[in-house]
Amino acid sequence: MAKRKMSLGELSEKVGLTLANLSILKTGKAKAVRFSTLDAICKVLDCQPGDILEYRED
Amino acid sequence: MKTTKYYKQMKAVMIFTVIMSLFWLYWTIGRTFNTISDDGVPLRDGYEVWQIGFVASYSIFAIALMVVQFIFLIKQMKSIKNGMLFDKSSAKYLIIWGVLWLFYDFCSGNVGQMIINGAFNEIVIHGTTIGFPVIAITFAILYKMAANVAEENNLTI
Repeated sequence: MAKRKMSLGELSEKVGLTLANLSILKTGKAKAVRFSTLDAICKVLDCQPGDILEYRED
Repeated sequence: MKTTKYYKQMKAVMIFTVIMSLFWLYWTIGRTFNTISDDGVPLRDGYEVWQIGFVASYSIFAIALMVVQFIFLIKQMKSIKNGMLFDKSSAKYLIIWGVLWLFYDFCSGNVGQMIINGAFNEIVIHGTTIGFPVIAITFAILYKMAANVAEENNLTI
């Protein structure tokens, strides 16, 4: 988001998610992500899923 | 998910429960405390201590049961209004309800023998005394599972 100079609000508008849901994703509180959501975010940010997802052991 | 229709249905259930509970309290507990013997004397004048305790327990369990029911219904209505089907914190009220029912049904099934006959040796335990609490606790477990699934669904973006 910083590289694309995009705010959370702007991203939520373009992706079609509410600010609350995007915030849940950003803070890592989401239990699961739909492929359609991942697809929309990657399209808007022009990136790969690996750029925005990271594996961490519990 | 639109929940307005279900909220209205829950509201109707709530209003019906309040009216029937108040009526039941007035009718049943009032009758229990005002039962007149064949001599025209209120039975409560001749109650022994354990009979007073039994009648008081019957009333307390009945009121406690109603309070737990109302708390559960109110929490459910709040959840539905917020678009959530199942609220995790409500499951414990189903368990409490089940336990209270065990004691209430025991008192309810035996209050006649206790206050009229004073027949301690004629205590009975009905099928519903054990059956309903078992069902309530089973449903509480299923409700908790459903609440977990609903929470996961809500946090699936």
